[in-house]
Amino acid sequence: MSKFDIKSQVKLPLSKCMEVVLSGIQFRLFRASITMAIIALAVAFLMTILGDSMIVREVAQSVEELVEPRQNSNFWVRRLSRPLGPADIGHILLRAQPAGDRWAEFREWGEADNEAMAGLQAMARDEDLYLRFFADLPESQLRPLVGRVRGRDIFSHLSDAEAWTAFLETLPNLGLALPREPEEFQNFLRQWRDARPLVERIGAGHAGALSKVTDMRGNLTIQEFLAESDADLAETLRPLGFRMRTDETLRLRDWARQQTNMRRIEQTLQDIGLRQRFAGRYGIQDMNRVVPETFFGRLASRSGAEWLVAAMAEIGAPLGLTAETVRETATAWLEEQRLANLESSVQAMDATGGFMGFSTRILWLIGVSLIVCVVGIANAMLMSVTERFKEIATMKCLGATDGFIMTNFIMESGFQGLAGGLIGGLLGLLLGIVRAALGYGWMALTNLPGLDLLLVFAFSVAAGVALSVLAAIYPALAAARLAPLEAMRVE
Amino acid sequence: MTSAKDRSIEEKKPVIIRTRHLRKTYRMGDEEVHALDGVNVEIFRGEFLCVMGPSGSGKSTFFNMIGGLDSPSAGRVFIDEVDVAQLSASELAFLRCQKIGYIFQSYNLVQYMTALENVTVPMAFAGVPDDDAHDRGMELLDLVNLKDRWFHKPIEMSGGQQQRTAIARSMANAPSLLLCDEPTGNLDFKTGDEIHHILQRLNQERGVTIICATHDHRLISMADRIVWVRDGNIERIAERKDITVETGSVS
Ligand SMILES: Nc1ncnc2c1ncn2[C@@H]1O[C@H](COP(=O)(O)OP(=O)(O)O)[C@@H](O)[C@H]1O
Ligand SMILES: [Mg+2]
Repeated sequence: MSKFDIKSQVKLPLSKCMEVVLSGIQFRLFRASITMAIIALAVAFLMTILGDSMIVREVAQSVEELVEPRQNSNFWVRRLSRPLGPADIGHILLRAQPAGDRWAEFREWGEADNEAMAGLQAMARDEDLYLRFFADLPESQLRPLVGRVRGRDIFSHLSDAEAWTAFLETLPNLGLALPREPEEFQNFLRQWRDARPLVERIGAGHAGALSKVTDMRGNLTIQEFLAESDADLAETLRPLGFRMRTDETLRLRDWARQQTNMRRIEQTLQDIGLRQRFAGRYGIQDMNRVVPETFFGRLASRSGAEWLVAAMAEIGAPLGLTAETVRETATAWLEEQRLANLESSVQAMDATGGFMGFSTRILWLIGVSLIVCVVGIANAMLMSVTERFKEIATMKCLGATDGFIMTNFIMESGFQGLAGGLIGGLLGLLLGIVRAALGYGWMALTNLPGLDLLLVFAFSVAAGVALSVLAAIYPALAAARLAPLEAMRVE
Repeated sequence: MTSAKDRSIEEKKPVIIRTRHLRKTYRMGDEEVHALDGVNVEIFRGEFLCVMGPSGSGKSTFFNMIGGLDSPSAGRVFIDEVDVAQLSASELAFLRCQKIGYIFQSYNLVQYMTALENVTVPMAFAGVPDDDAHDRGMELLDLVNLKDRWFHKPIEMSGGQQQRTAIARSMANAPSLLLCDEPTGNLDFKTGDEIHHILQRLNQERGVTIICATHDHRLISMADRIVWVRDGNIERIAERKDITVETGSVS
């Protein structure tokens, strides 16, 4: 009597499984494309947000580079026209390079040595840390902690023994913890007190230098003074303690000239007669609409600039600038305005904080969209399993193992995820670029972070595949558990 | 007609399937339905067995049990003296793939595959290399007279052609047992005849054991034995030669 020689069923190679899956997807292209569309949407959303933030980050960096000269000039104007308070000194100290120009200036004004300067800088860093800590606290917690004092005054307030004890007692009651140990904070407070005389000396030293500058410039504004300066300015300022590099001198002078020109052109708007002429020439009905933006916008063209020069001559108050200078100045004014806008929008981005610079709201949106996507795919796959009860059961009658059925469905979903992810990724990339371009203009396109975007793209597609596979696990299990006798059932 | 086959059954009668007190009970709410109620039967290697019985009598349930597609509530099924209950999932898959061919009333072809691809599916599961599978698939399609339609998808074929493809598929790994559950239930008279003759040829030329559930009395004339089932019990077993005279009256 011949016996059946029953062995374990062979394991099918993945390539065979893939063949079956691909022809299945082809056959059910409509259903598959709906699933792919769901994935594509979710991936596109992810990709847009990630790509957009990458581009904005890149833009922010180049904006920073672009505004750097202007900031540097403003920095000089401020220091040459206004006294330095403890806050300014703290700020400058945070960024000062040891033995750099700012460092040397402070050392001279404060009559300190390098060691004292290093100590002061370390103190300034701690000071910044604690200032941030207090600044982040809501009023309802600040009041019981330190009363009405705010900012740096908190540090002097806490020097009082009684206030210190009360502070230490209140802290745990509010459920708060200092960024460092209380002992270290107390240590800092002592250093902070000890550093006061040096900070005051620096302030006084600077004030002395400042009064000499004020004498020098007579009744000129600081910008006018700088505009008329020459390359010797650095030499002139050196004995007062200011350390200005020669290239800074020239840049500062050019900038000051431009600013002076801007102010001079802005001044012409004060003249009602000129405003009316301007409104008349450009057909502006509402006089309130004659604002610097529209004014400079017109002057940035050759005809506008020529018109202003002629108009001022007619009024009898010649501008003293050539049309070409007016045009250049207006263009610079517009550029400055644009950069300022970019800067503030970029700063608003930075300020939102959160994970990877995304606000909690955006993170929630991403999370919810991904969950919806998983549920959508799982639902589509379950429907696909239900529709194919008979096919699956027949396959099992023909010798398919549970593993093959599982692999089949997971692979199917994975392929759909890959296709949907690629489509969605490209779509999202495109949308992200368009969005960034609308928000930041040409700068966004010239600052595309190629490698970062590629990585984000790969990540988004991988996320699409992973989500699809995840969503397919339950439907695949359901399919694998199906009894082969379902094949016998006749509808 | 006393062929060599008949004599061999008389002489040796090797059993291919044996059931012992086979019972299957379905629960429908409070009610228990005994789809099989203690069936004891022996089916011999190489015979053509017809299972007759009204709808709902338990034919399909019987097939599921002896085909290793479902497990009984009680009792045992031996296929070639192997207790099916002892087999692992993987061994069951091997059994279904290599030892048993299934033919369904509704053909159950995979819709997105061509006739040839359908026929070669069980070969792929058995690990047969693609080239061999292709050649063998074409041979089997030739056997059922569909060689020149190998590239047709199921929707492009008539019911009879689909069922012939399904028969070719059931023979993919040369099983020793074919289980046909109302194979001509969806087909017209003439097409049904074609199917019957193919099954008869497989039985006579290749010695395949065929178990066929049917309402169709024409098949009785081809069978070696007929089993009548009623309410989950075997009502009667008869050899064809004993009932030839009554064929006309059995209906
Ligand atoms: N999955 C099931 N659940 C409940 N009852 C079932 C199930 N399958 C079959 N039955 C019942 O078992 C009995 C036998 O059914 P079946 O084997 O399909 O008969 P046949 O194939 O002879 O028409 C019927 O009464 C049927 O209602
Ligand atoms: Mg039935």
